[in-house]
Amino acid sequence: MNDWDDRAVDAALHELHGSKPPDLSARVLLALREASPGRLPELRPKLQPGRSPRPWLILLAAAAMMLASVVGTWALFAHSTPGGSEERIAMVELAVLDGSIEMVEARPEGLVATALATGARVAFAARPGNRLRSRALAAGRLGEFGEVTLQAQTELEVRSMEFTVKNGVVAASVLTLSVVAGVVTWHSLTRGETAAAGEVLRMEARGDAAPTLVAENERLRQRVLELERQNETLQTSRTAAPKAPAPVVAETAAPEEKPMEPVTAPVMFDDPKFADALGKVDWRLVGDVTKEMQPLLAELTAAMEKDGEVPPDLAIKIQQLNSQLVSQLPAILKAGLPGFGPNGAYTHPLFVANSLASTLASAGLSLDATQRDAIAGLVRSFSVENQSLSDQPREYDLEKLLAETEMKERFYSEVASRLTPEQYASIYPEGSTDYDGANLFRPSLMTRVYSDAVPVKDAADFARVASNRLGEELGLDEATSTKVRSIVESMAARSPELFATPGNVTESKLHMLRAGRTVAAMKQQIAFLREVQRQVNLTPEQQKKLASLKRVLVPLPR
Amino acid sequence: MPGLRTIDEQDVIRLVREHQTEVWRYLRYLGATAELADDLTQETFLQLLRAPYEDRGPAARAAWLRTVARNLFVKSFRRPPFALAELDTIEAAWTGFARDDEGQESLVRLRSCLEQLDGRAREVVRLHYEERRSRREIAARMSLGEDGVKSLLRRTRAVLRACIERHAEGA
Repeated sequence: MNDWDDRAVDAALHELHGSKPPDLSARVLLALREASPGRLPELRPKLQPGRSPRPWLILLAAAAMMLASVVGTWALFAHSTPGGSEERIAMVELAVLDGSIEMVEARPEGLVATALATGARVAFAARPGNRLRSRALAAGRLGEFGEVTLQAQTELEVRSMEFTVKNGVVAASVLTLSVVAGVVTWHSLTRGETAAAGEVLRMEARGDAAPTLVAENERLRQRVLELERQNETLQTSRTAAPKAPAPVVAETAAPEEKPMEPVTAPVMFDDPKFADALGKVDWRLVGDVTKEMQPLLAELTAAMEKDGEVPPDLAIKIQQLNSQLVSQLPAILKAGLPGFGPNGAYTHPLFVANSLASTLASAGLSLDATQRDAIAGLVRSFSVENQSLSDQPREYDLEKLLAETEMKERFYSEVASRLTPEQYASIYPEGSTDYDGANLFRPSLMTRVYSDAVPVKDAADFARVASNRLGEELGLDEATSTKVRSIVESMAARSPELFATPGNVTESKLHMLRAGRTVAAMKQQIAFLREVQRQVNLTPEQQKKLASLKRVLVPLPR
Repeated sequence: MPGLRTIDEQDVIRLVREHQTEVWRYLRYLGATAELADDLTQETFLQLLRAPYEDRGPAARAAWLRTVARNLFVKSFRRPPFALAELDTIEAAWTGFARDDEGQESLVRLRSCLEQLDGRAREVVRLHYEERRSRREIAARMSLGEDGVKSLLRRTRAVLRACIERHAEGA
């Protein structure tokens, strides 16, 4: 009996014990109807060679058709190539949030480049070969895939688009971009990733697009109506009423003691080196948005744990708030704060302290003078440590990430110890520290960009996946991969704690891992990278790749 | 439904029901999870109904569907889950099991062969397939190493396969 005979019996045994073939006729019928609202398709003879391609057909399922009616968010097309095979192309809405992005598309008339300035919204054909470029730092949103920040002189090329079929709906699920030059960072509700020239960025679309966008559609309609009404009212009052005097702001006399003054736009914690750029961050917006977002993130993980689903309205709200924070990212990056990746700057002590002060001010719980002095001291000393970690050469990039994460963990903890119970509750709502990414004042904001959850049965299973990934990254041959596997397996077996807690729905669906998992996995990965370097004969090129690995493979026990 | 030109709802339902079990079982045999098999089976039929296709009867249609299903399954992985050189072996093992009734008769025989199992073989099947215990748990319960469980499962399946073939020859 060969392996495949064995598999046939295995599959049959699974079927006898509960895994039955379903009746999919209704699903197929539904999908066909959504694809073609008219009569059902025909079974045709093969196309004759030389027959002209069929015109573009809208193939789309209900979700995408609704999206098209929103604000041109995205649509899917099926295009028949001359060979008769169908090529699906997704039209993704590209919104330029900051700076300028150039879009280069292959069209029948040749390559067409379109320069887009801040505020532009266009449909971008996510077809392999089409490109996006930036001369200077720029940020944009790619439909359902989330926000991207392009560093200066960055060029991205569409490599592929993956589609999934769920409950009869065809949807674009993963957009893969090759980074031709520069550096790009992707942010979405649940994921984030940074890729540099030569690397590939896989952007996953947010799930449940249809219901969320229907709700978003409705919300936008209401907002447009409301703005139109306001506009009409203003027009009327402007012509009818005399101009109102500007409000007079009373200047209060400064009392002897330092007052509990609200933090507004000015930077509270400063550093002359970064003063200009920090002054360009809208701290009031950062504070207002963070204050509003914190409890919603806690609510999100609670809803996932309870029902296993993300409430669409909540997801939309968080995504909108997140977009506002991301809009500040270019200013933060321009500041040049040292740190591992873009969220390294976002979690830099200087940024965190200002963000915290603004958030508390927005909540009416401003820092008092004593707290400000204490936190200013912490910011100074931890900023020095941050700079030193950033300058210090390390054997592995992951060592740098780990050192910075541990330093920031201490910083957050020191700052938290200076807060009153009310302030603490506002910054760390109950349940918000249980998962990475569920709180904006945790170093996991930086690490989760690099964490890659691997659903596994046990340590041996993890070793198999990890060694395969490592083999792919380094270009190892079969024999070397096997050796790597045995190293990873023996080291993973020595860390049973990594496999003790099964992954839950929040971790698998939202990619928000339980707090602590990523750091524990990172430590183990550094150890096994070291062991691979010691025991396996790698070429200089492979050693270089090994040292620059940034993805942390985090076991997620099934 | 050879010669079909325009199909109505009932034709679609008939077509899907005629072939879905084999396509789904074939995908499970290739290693797809039940959920993935559902999705890929649906996509396979959509490709049949959307693409230009010359219908040459149920057998050719079944083979075409298996090819599409297999391609979709392979595409769902970053790296091919098996070598192209194995295709003949894969097809031969499947047709040997499924014969010309989507594997229905083999399943019936397998059920009867299962009843003849006893001792550790019966126990390991119960723990693995019925209770869905991990290999580690089974090893602990049966005082075996994990590799021992793997070998026992494989030997048991070989016994079952031989039993199915004996029944088929006797039929």
